[in-house]
Amino acid sequence: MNDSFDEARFAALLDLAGEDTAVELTQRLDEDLTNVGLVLTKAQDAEVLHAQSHILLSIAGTIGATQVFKLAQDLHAVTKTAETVRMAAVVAETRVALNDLILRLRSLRPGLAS
Amino acid sequence: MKSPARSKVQPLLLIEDTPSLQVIYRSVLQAAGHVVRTASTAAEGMATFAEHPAQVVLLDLGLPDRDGLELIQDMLALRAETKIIVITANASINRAVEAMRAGAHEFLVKPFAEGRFLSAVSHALDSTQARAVPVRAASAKAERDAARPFLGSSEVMERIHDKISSVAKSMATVFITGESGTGKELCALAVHGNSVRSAGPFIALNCGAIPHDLLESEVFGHVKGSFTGAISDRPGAATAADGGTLFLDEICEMAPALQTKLLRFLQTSTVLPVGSNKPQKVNVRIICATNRDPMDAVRRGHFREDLYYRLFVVPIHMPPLRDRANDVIEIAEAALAQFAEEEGRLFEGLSREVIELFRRLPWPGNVRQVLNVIRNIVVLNPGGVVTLAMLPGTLCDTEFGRLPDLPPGRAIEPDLDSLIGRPLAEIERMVVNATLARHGGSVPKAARVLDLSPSTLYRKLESWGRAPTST
Repeated sequence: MNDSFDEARFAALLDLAGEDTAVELTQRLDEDLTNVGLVLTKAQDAEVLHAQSHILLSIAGTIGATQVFKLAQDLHAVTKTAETVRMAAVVAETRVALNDLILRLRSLRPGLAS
Repeated sequence: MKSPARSKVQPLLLIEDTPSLQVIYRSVLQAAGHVVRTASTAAEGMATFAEHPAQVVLLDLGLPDRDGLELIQDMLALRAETKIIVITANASINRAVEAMRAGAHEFLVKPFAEGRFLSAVSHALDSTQARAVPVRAASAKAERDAARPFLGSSEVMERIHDKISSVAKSMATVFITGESGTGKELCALAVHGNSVRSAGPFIALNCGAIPHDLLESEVFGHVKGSFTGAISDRPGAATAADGGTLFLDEICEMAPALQTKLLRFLQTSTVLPVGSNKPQKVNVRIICATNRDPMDAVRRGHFREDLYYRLFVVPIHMPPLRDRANDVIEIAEAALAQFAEEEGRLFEGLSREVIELFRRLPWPGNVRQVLNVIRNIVVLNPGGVVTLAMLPGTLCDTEFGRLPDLPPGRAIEPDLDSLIGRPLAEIERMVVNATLARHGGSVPKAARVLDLSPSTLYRKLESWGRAPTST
């Protein structure tokens, strides 16, 4: 485990899912996280971003993506305020961390060397 | 992991719109031995549920096509016994309260640990197992045991328990009196549960809550075509209670014409459904109850004297909670343990401050009020020791104004001096009029506060020659 991602936690989830479902799980995670990333890139509406923070909180918290989870918490909080400048900064930071997470998960796909 | 046989009987339904989370939750459940059906939208979930009603549903509230709260209500309308576990990333208290009010069994905030998730499912399945046994067919011991903790064990209640045990073994009619909320139905259940009829049905009918023109049909049943809306034969409560006990609550609210029919039923043990000319023999024990003084109702001509003497065979008076010493604490602790188990929470009892406060409060709503307060605490708090901060805000400052700082041990009482010496009927009228005035003349609102059915309050006003100013 490092500070940004609990690899053991994710490995346990894949193990729990079993071989076939683990492949499906990593594909679904890639799609879901990519979709959130796309919305974060385009959207400026606080309500839309707030909804994305819910998805990100759920996924990141479940798979052990600690850094993205913390940023999702910040995003969740800031989208309930009128602080647009701070919101833009948090969105930008979240996008970067999310991109890193997606790449990391791709490297951990079942069948690939981890 | 263990393989719970219960879920194999009927699969769980998981409704989650985020595909990766759906896969994860499904995997966790399957690894624990559950069989899982999945849906990604409210429409898909409802269709699956309609085709295969599940005992337990795991529902994400944030669905793309419909509000999850509406879906809860629709599912419960289709199958009331289903336990719905709400899973959401929206951790607001308001959302949790809304979900519980809509009928959710449990509220989990994402992300959650697998252990917590599986424990919620396991608890929900246990609850459905418990509920699958019809309450009315529960064993005598179960009914007795279920009722007793909520009745209390003060000296006065011990005498009532003894009386219940003695009378239960006979066929004698029991007439239970007592203020609203003192546990009259629990007492009736205890009589039934201790009797040789305990394997038979216990049918409860609130005579004050059913419109007069439907009450006869509710008690004695009807045959198809006997009146508009009677589209099929329907047995009444008296027939449904055959072999068991018929509990007639708020008996003094029964219309005079029906009192005559009830008297005939008691004399002949036969029922004549509305529109039928074929009497049916039934074997039923009658227990009735009222929060009024039945003799006063007789004196006023509201209740037949011959029916009164037919029913008033073994009277049991349930004393108000304020006269029952430590019962309030015993009842509150028993309720806390039971409700915490039902809701899957871990509570460790009442704090000293709460115990002191509970002893000082007058509890005008009696046992029912205590149970409601405890239910509120269990639903809205995660667990631990119950503290003053967990109590509903309205507990101390509603009907009696804010709780004053009283010396410990001194009970709070409303100002009774001005009432002593007046007839009870006059006091009742004063309280009703004051309650109506406080609620802008609204009979339904006043009835709710007085714990009466609106029809009862309307009848009272009518008998006093007073028309309600508004509804």
